[in-house]
Amino acid sequence: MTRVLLVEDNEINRDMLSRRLIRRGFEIVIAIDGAEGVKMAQSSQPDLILMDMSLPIIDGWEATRQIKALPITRHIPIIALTAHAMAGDRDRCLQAGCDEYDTKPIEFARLLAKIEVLLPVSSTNG
Amino acid sequence: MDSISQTHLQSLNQQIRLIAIAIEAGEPWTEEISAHKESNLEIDQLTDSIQILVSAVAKQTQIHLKAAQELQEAKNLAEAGSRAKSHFLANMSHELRTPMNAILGYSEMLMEDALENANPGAHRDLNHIYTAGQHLLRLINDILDLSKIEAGKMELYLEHFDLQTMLDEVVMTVQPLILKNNNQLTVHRDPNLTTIYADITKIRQILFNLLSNATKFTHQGTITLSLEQEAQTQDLKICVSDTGTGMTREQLETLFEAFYQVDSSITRHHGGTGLGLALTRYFCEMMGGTIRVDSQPNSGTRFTIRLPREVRSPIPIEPLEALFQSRMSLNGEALGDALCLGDALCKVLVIDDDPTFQDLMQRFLSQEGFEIISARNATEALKLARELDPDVITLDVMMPQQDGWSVLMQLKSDPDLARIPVLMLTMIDNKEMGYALGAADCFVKPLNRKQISSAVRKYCRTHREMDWVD
Repeated sequence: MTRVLLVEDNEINRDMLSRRLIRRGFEIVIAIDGAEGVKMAQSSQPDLILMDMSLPIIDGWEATRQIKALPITRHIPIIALTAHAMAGDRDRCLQAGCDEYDTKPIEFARLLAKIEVLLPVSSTNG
Repeated sequence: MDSISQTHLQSLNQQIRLIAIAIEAGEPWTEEISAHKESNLEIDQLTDSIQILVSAVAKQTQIHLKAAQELQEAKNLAEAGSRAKSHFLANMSHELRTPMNAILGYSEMLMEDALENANPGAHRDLNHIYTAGQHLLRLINDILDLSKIEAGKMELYLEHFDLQTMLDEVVMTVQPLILKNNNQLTVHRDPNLTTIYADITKIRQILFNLLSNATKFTHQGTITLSLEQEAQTQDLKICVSDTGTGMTREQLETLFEAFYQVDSSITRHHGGTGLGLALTRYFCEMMGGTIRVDSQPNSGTRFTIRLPREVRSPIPIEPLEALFQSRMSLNGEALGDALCLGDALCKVLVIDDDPTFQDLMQRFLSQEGFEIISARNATEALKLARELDPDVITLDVMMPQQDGWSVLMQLKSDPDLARIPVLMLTMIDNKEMGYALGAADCFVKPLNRKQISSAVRKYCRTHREMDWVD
């Protein structure tokens, strides 16, 4: 089963996105701030990370930088999720090491397509 | 003159020069002239007078400095206010999008549940919430875009992408809107048009704006989307046309202005922020393209967009000017072919024997989308007026063979030509004579570009309206 780490501090967004992904057959691991995100990335070794960018403790950009700097987590694809959609956001996410970028509100079909593209073939769901 | 007086004069001279240099450089300067009383009365009087002059200049300079300072403060305040507003808008849009995320997401989840549980009633209701939520989100996005433009932060994300795939997506997205008013969508596409280099999000938004606009004003009609490559320029040409209600010329003029809607009742009937077309035009121009519209009441509307297939870095556009003012009301400059009244361009017959002036008028008016016909003498003018039926005639008074007044009389006595408005251009102000002979208006040379173009536009419109009444 494909394991996705969802790093998101907003409870409603977390609940909604995790439930929707579980329905599609993903296994979901949750982290509620950036520091926990970095820890969970190491301990649970997910196939992919969905990273909110405005997070407490350390923000999504910094968490991404740390994950991409660690040898045991740097291979994990990260999709940045941001509600800003202001000019420069996308570049900042990609510069921090994110592999993809999507804006909130999430268009679920679009997000699924992006997840699909980034996952190693062996771990995609049916 | 004795040597002491001479020294005093030199000292005065020196002081005045130093004061002048300081004033010129905007530096502080001494307001006291130092002078020794001496025996020479004239020199004492001169010194006193100079002191009065220097004091007066000092007083005036203080007043000017204070005014300039106040102006600068007001400017800073206004700029800070504008920045604060843009910042507020950007923040607000962010705050609004977060709850939208939950509304859209949960209603989609519940729709999936309703489908699984075979509950069509609940599915329909949830779909209403979902659709309304999406509508609200589009409005929020428009406002966010506007605040980005205002803050000078709108950027292009240029990439290569497949036009056909994007087109499929857009068609799929607008399909529900098309069906709403029982319309049909026809898509013509050139299979040779594949990859282009542009900002995909903005092109998608442009197409969506134009198509959704077309669906609002068309009922049981056809909306046509066509994409082709222009043979000459190799540019991408996108047309969105409909068989809907169409627009009058007045409506067309303000069409691309931000916050302006053709009729305020439209907001009630059709929704929208009034930003869609302003943003559409802004995006087109940013990518080095153009947009034009052709429309007539009751015979549909056609938007034509031309974009380079390889977009280069963004074209700098002054944000406020671009969005908040119709460029026609600004000075008509560079509106180019973006606006076309009815089917044909406004035709202006310019009667003047001077080739330089003909040239000037050609430049003034053709840039504003007028078609210029030139006539160098009375015979040619009358012939062209009959053949080409211009909307407006400009007529020079000083012509060698037959002067403008007699040409005016001939125009006004011919029943076919009498109703064409004539603008007299004279070297001396002689309005009464002009009006008595039937001129629509009189202008004194040299002409002010703005003045002549707005007059031509005004009479062009009056003339067309009279035609329509016929």
